[in-house]
Amino acid sequence: MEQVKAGQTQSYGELVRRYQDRVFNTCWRICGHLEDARDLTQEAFLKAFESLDSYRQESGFYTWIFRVATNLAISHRRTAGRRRAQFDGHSGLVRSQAEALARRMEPGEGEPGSGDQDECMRVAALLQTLDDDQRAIVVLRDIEGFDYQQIAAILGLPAGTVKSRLHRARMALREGIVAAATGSKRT
Amino acid sequence: MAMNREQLSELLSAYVDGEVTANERAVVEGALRTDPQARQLLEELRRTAAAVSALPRHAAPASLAVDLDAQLERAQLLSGFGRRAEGRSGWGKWQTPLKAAAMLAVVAGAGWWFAFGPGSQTPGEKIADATKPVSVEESTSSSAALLTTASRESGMDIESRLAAGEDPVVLVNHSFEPEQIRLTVTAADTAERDALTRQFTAQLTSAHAENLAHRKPRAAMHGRSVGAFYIEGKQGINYNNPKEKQVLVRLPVDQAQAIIDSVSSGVRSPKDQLALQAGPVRAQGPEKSQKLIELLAQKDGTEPAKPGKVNDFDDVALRTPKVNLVDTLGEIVGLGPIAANSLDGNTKSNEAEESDVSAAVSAERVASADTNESKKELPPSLVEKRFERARTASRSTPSATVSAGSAARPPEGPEKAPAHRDQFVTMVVEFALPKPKESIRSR
Repeated sequence: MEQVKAGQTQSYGELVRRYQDRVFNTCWRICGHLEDARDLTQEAFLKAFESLDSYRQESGFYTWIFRVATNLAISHRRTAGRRRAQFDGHSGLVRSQAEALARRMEPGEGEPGSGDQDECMRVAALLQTLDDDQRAIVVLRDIEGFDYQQIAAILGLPAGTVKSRLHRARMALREGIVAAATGSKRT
Repeated sequence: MAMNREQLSELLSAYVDGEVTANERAVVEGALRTDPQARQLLEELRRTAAAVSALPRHAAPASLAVDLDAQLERAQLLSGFGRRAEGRSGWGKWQTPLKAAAMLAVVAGAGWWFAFGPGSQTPGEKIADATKPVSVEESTSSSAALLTTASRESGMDIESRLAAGEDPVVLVNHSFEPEQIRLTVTAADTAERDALTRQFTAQLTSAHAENLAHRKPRAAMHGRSVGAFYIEGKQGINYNNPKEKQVLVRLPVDQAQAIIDSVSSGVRSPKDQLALQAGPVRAQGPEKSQKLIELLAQKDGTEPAKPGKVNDFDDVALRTPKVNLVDTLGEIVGLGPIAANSLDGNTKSNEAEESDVSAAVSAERVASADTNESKKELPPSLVEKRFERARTASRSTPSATVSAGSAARPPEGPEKAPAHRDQFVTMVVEFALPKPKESIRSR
């Protein structure tokens, strides 16, 4: 980062390459749209670069860039508003808002998860039903693997708040995930 | 430790992540031994976390890094220029870094001299005045990054130039956005190039300070719009050939757009180029060429010149003798009048009727291999008249000549050729179609 602050764009490029996938995924899972995630990722790196003067060495760059990206994604999500159930012209009216959200997320070229595609879509849809702040914490913890202290640094929250919000988020997700699993076992 | 179900539930969630203290771990494990509901909840929380962790990951699009690179360069330029502008004449409004930019570089060939200022200086003195280094701003992280990048790409020792008090260079000749407009100034030598650049930028900044076009960052991020800014005293370098006598000048996007609109029917293809030259005026691409021909003919009040030969690039050079190219270019690109220079030291504002320099805008279509049409050239008599006028207005050597044919060819006619080389101005406009935004709803 010192090199970057000294003005070597090439160094910043290295940082971009190192973190762009993770930042992109974070933005994607928070905002819910691949294309918006792309824009948000660009904007995050750009914004972080422009704010290099404000960057403090005590936090790693990952904290810096994820903070910028997460805030952008949350702000974007709030500005864009809640997604509504969409009419799927190809297959008729979708059955639920969650399914509509899952379709719109379009994992695309991402690696398939351990579960089947439907399960992933459902979980992804459930994730989008969370409160924005809760979803951000879940993404940072369960997808990006940050620990509570790191999440607290990224979000600028006390660790205790991170713990409690993550818990509430998981409890909200748990109902949909567990209920679906229970239902599939019965069939 | 006594706790309620909610507190235990929260601890269980933290336990899943290994984020419990030793005391908390003991509490949780004690509850798990005795409470089946706690064990069930723990399992469900683990399953929930695992389900989210199993969501597929998506690699960042390959184009993201490329676009980001361009955005970073722009951000460097804008932040640096904004700070520079603040120190000047109250252009505080420009302090806000713009998220995107349009570039124009005017290519000035060996022929056009622009006024540096009043006085009876020799050309060399005027050039020296015009190329006095502006106060070099101490490198900020952004400008240093810019210069480093410029150095890296151009091979020029930019830092040495700065250290020597010379103007910093601008990273140019780069595709910032899908929509890019570039005019390249090419001059007879680097000193002339520098002088021309200063003059252009001075004209631009003074004339168009109010015409900045700001675009919303979101729009800019999609590459569908470009912002505008000015670079005062900056010089652009063709980094493919740093010693090439080229500079780039940026113009507001609305004016840049006017160029596109005026010389193109709106049909653009990637890497389209439009080149205007005072001498021969060249436009690449038959549609743009014809449009340019028609445009200049309108100003000329004449019938559009019939296309001639076409070269490999479908070059079309428009030759409209009655049109003052400087004014024409100025109108096309929104530059406004550009002061003309005379080598003997006379400098005048470049009002069309006062200028002692006029340009022949010639139109021709360079021959393709399949045609034998020769280039159309400015009638020698017309060229001669202009040279004579220029000579008369000058106290010594002619201030400017007009290329009667290709830039390298001296004008024909009984009179001796002007003392100095052919002169022309070339404007190269490059633009490309913006990337279509994929519909989110499309499948």
